Amino acid sequence: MMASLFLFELKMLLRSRLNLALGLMLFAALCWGAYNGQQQVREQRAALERIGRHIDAKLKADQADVARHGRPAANRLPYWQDPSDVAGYMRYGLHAFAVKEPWPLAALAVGQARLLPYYLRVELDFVAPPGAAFDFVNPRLLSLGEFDMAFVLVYLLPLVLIAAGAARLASERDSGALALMAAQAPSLGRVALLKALSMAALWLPFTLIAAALAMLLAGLPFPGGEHGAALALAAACLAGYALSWVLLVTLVASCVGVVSSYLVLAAAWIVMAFALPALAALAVGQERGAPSALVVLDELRRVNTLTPQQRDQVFLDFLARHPGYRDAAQRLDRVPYATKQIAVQLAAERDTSARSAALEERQATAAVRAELVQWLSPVMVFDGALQSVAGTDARRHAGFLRAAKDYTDQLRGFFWPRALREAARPNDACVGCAARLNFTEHALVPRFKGSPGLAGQGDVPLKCLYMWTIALMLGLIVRHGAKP
Amino acid sequence: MRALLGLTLLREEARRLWRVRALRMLCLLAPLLLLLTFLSTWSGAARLAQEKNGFSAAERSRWVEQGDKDPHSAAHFGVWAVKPASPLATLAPGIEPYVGLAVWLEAHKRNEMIFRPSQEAHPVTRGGASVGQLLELLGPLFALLLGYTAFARDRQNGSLRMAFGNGASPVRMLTARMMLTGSLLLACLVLPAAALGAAALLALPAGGWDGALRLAAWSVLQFAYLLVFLLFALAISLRVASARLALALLLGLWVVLCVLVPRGAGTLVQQLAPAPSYQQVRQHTEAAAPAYESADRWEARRRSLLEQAAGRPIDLRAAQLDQSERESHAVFDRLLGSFYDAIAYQDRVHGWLAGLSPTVALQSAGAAFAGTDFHHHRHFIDAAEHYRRELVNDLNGVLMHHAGQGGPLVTGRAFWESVQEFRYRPPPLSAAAGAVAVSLLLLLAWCTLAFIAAWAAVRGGRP
Repeated sequence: MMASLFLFELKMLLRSRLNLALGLMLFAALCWGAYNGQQQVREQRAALERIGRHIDAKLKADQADVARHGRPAANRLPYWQDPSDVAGYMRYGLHAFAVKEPWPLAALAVGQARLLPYYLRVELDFVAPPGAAFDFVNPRLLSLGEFDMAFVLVYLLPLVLIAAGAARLASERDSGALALMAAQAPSLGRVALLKALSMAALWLPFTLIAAALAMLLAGLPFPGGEHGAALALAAACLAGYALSWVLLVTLVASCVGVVSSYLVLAAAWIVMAFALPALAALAVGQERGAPSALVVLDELRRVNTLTPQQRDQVFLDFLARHPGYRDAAQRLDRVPYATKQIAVQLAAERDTSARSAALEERQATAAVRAELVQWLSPVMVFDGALQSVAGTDARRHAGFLRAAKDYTDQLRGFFWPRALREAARPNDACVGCAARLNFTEHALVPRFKGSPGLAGQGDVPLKCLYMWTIALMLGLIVRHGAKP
Repeated sequence: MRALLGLTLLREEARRLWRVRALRMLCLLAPLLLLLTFLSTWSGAARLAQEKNGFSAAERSRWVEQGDKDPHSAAHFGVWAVKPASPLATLAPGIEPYVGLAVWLEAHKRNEMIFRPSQEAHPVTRGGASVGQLLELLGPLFALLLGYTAFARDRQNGSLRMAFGNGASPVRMLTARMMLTGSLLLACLVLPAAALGAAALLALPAGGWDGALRLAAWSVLQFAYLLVFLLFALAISLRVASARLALALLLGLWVVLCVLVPRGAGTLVQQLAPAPSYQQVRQHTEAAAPAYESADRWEARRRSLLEQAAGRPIDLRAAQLDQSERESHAVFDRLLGSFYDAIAYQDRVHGWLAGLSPTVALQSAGAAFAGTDFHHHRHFIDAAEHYRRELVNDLNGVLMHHAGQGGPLVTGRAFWESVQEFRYRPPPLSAAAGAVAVSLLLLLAWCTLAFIAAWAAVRGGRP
């Protein structure tokens, strides 16, 4: 009897014009979302390709300039214009970038990809923290959010399921048809569960196929390897999420009438999509006395405000701690500003390290708290899972910032000893030339190797498990809790 | 007598509405929710305002105390300009979390404003609501439920039929209910929000924002927006046969107008009016006006200046720096200016999309009235850039005037003090309103449309 009821329900659902209309709308929204996401990815890839071409062209131009100026000439180039002077080049001529390549599934969820920088110009000494840079996007559009696949799946899909299920089930309840069916079955709970399963049997495969088709139409790749596995996890997560909403709709609609079902389910959606994230934001953001980045900038600026005499003294103190370069003290007035900035930068970083560490610690604490509070709402969990799979989440960005910092250190390790050696023991390789030729290893300047891969995105399986646990719990409640 | 009857009717209708428990709860909860939301953003805004003031004062002191140095070194030292936030940003933050707080004004470079609060914060904290967002998203739901409670249920259970059968005038009765529900919107949402805005105006630095005027305009805008939904709720409740269908339509309307269209409008804007890649614009800008010019370009400039001087004494370095700086202004205006124009155009297109939803109109005009839209942001960055150019030109001018006087020029405290501090004055409300005229007109059109729909429903209403 239950099997035939299941088939009957499925047939009814398939014949429903409302379901057809909702399905078409969902598919159209998914297609547009996938297209929009893919468009963002294409734009980012184009920008990164331009950066790559720019770095290559700059290298060639620098090498050509070194060859051109490495000949006898009447005047010597100022050091800041000399691509063959290590101090001048590292401060004024170096064009090095750390880049965050979009992952294959980046179009799935734009996430933080447009807000947070995906490339950073690396400078060896600076006042403003390099991580504060960004690629300017219309801020109004950032504040509105993207219409991407994640938006459709996370926010619109539940509304579609509410629209598809609430009225049908609740009106059966109001008309007494549900009670009639329950009278012929072992329990109302089993009938309600069966109805939920029939609804899930229609909407889960439809959503998965529609999403896959939308990705295909938008030109998203179906990756293999670890990204393929991540996609499979995302699909499992989506199935769990959709099933949870189907069961919630069934539970509410089988317990109260049509009007109340609408109100309760709309309220549930608002609570999960807006109220709980707002509460979570409050819990994470309300740390009393947490200063803004302006306070760190103020300190950086203070320690960087030096008269030429003070700068010289900072450099002399540095030389005293690094005996290998002590000879530079003998020719202090001829040591370039860029080389002295090595000592100033290190002193500034040392002096502000306590404040920076405190800020980083606060951010880390907030991140841990954020990771915890997101479990409050399935909407936040699912959104986070999609961003993790797409590689557009905050965790990947934090990894990128760490990689950019490591790259800065790598470049410092490459340039600074050379500049300090030059300051201590000048190597004027071409007396009478326009160029100094103390640095000709432009091709050896390290390039950015990339930021961490999927290994850091480890909580997606847990999020998937969370979704299915919620679905299971709701299933049990429907099975045992549905009331006529 | 007629007025007395009207008052009696209003009192009776008020009693009837007050008896609906869910409505009573909503009316009490709404102001409380607004207050809690306001308090959650308040402490951060007050602290940030204090930090901005402290930083600006410290920056001025650093400028004055920078010691004796070459004026061009001072131009490189530069100053940081901090953008003062509108006090109403606590109500309607608009784009403020997505734009920088401060910009470094230095020689050769037109830097971007950095330290965007949303970039510094964890993504979870971006889910935080503001009073403006609550009114924008949940306010319409409140209005729709008010309209539904006031009419659809009574129609369904036959109360309206009974009242009309006993000789009540449908138009008067329904007008009275409309006035009551409108007053509830005002009392539960708009006036509490305005009161919170007034508190923000009293407590935060005024900074020439015309706060009271802006708050009044912002509040009127919110009321007009909520009224659109109330009138639509009235029209649908009176026209649709069953209460459940009315509710389904009202909720559907809310989802489409307040959730779906606003999100889609943002994305649609990018397709209708795509802005160029900022990375590309910056790359072109740096190629056309590099902060540190190449030897060849520098030498060409030197020769040209020597020719122009024709034997007169000239500080060649100062003249080179000055010429290079002035040339860069044209490049910045052409490339970065065009980029910002493209962003402003996107905002105008977004304003046109207010024809699709009143929420889009509110997003556009509300942020403009609160002083938190791109129009205001650009006004600040242009003002800061204007100050930077004057500052660097003055410093280069000092160097050039020194030509022929022999020895290096070193300037000190007296000169640094003579340099005017950067002081920002925001644009007047009229300019902000002008920038969102289309959105305002479209919101007015929505109001008119909703009013016509409600009036038609009342006139042709069946009990």
